[in-house]
Amino acid sequence: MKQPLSRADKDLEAIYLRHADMVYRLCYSYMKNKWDAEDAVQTAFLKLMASGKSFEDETHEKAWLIVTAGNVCKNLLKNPQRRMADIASLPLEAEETPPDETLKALLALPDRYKSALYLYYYEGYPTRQIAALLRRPASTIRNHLKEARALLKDRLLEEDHEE
Amino acid sequence: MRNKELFDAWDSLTPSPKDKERMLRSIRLRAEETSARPRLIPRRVLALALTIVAVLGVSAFALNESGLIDWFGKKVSDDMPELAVTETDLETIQSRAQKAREIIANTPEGEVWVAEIWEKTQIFSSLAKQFTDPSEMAALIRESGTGLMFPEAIPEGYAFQSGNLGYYLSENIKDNGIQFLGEEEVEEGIRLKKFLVTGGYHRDIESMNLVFADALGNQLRLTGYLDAGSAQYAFNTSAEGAHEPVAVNGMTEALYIHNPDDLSQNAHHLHFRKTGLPQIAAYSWYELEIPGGLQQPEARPEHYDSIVCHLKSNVLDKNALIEIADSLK
Repeated sequence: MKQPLSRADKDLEAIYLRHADMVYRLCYSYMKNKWDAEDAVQTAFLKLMASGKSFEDETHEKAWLIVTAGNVCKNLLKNPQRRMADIASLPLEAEETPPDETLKALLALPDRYKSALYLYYYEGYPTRQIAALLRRPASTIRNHLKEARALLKDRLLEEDHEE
Repeated sequence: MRNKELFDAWDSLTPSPKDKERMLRSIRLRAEETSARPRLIPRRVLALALTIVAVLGVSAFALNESGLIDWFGKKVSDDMPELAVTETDLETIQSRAQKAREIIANTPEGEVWVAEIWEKTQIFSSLAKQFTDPSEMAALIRESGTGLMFPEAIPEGYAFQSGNLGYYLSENIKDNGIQFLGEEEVEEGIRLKKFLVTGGYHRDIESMNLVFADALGNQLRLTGYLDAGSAQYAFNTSAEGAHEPVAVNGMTEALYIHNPDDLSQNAHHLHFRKTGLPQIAAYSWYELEIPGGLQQPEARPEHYDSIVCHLKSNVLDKNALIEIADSLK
């Protein structure tokens, strides 16, 4: 028997249009390739549909998606089946635009920094609002940003030396 | 490395409209399959099947003029504050934090739950109240004396939809208005402490969120919060966007931003702040070490001396937003 998911399709589309870019960028930063990123995006929005969750406002909605997308990615990365998958067998890599040095360094960062870094540098949120969105102490967010920047600088300097 | 390089790096990950359409189709397809069958189509198989027939490529937006700007419309500097870095196992903390957030989501109104997940690392619930009556909310904001205000002029056709207030921890409440309810280890490494706020905290407003909407569902949002005059503000502008410092009655700075691109859904933003307000000492639950209760004599308050507000609409333009901001009382 068919059991409909609890969120209406038009609601899904509205939420998807509001946040798909943000969720995709975050997922890509974790998964490091387009195909797994798309898989993660789909899974995050399916979780949203299945949850039937109602949000206080768009900020709450966004925060939920940021946390959920991060968790989905971490679960996918931990999945042994995925680790066994032969990524090289997929005829996809050559069709993606090669990342520049900054993007490569960004993708190589530990996952724990990515959400805060994205919200600070791309969305322009102050650390205080990032702390509220991610429900973490502002001091933790500031530390993550500082540590991430230090790592990025180190890696970009390494690249310069290698060249 | 500059902010723009990081912005551009993130922006290069923006999916193309075709990719976005394809993902939405896949979500719907997978949702239908989920409803029709007890199991999902393997995600990877489906993703690949769909992508084989798709036109491939990663899009990148032209963003020559986009980036992060400050209150005055100038590019923000590259500098970050120097902060001490703690040597901790962040992965474990992250895992515990996720569990702790799920636990404290069940905190009843009037209580604060604090989950200690690592040395000096705590997750706490917010002291907050939801409102459906705008006059009640406006009265509480105005009586608070915090500097936060409620708008008197709402554009025709818009009505109050919802609102909430968040509260800070005053010295009086910290010392006299909290009842320790108990503590227990709820998960390995997560110690949960529960507090009932018995003192009157409803004037200690730290933040407000208001949502107004018209008959078509267009929303007007106003957020405001107390701040300690932090200079760490950066606002996002898109390539097609416009921004300009503007004047708002009684405010120290105001910045209008219009991002007309599809990505931003034609968003109009008005950011404004008022600095130099009488200081308010606010304690953070984070900074309180709680051995059997609230006993941290060395806890230092944050001294709020400004308010920061943000008006956002996808329909109302600069002048309409300024008129609303001018009416704050």
